[in-house]
Amino acid sequence: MDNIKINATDRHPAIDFDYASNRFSISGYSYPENARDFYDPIVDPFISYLENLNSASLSFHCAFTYFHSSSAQVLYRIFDAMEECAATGNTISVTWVYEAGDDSMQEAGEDFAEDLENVAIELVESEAG
Amino acid sequence: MLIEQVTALRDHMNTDGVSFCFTGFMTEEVLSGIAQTLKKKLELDKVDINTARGIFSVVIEFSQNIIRYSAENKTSDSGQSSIDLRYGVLAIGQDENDHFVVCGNMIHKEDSQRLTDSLTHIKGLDRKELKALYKKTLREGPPENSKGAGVGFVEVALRATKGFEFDFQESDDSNVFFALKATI
Repeated sequence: MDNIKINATDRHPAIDFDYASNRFSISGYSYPENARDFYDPIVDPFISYLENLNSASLSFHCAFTYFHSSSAQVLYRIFDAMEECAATGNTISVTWVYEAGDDSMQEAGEDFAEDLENVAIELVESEAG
Repeated sequence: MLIEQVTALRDHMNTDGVSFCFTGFMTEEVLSGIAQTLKKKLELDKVDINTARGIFSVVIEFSQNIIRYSAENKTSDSGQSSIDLRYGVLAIGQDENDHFVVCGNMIHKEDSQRLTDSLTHIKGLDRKELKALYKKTLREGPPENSKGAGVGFVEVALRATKGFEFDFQESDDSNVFFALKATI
């Protein structure tokens, strides 16, 4: 798999999908004009990759400032796929970073965590600003 | 005459506590500009992080709602590019200690009952129920006639910590004007 690196803009997050080392990261604002147009080419191959993974270790880093409801749908797809992958013998650890005081992003992390049994998720508060 | 007209418009908005108002064709480019400016304004005013993110989120959902669903639009599909401009109103303001965001646009008459039912249902839910509906809708995918995730109004209800209200007014045989106000 080719690594994917996309710089952040005002409307979409920075993407750093390093397949070679199984380290994945999304960070920033997410309210692209069309969530599927932006995310499908990134997320579809990632989900196929997860489906074919065996006894692997993978880390996923999320640090959102804000995501809109259409982006939330993509995140559910990613988290559901990771949970399934972790349930079949892979080790997945997620770090969910939110800005100190941002209740909404903290809650979003807690909401994802609620549905995860096999993925280890750590909620990390970053400094304000 | 000109100065009276312009100051009357400005005074009218001031009286209502409106600090930002857009009426016209809403596009993704307009939305980008509004979002960037709003971010700076909220920072300048030192608005609390949760209130600021709430206002920002509602503005994004309202604007995309106009772009996707306003029934008052101008289209052209000639040659290489298709144009579809949707008309709507977006206002941001403050009364007393509360911030508010208002949007309005025309909708097709046949959609008004479905929208009323959906918003009335959402309005009756508590935070826990809203979150459950949010998750369920996101997992099951968007409704057939939706261009987004179909949870925009649930997102608004979750962010509008001081509630939301909506109203309709018949415009002509086929259209109804729809207005929505979220208080944060």
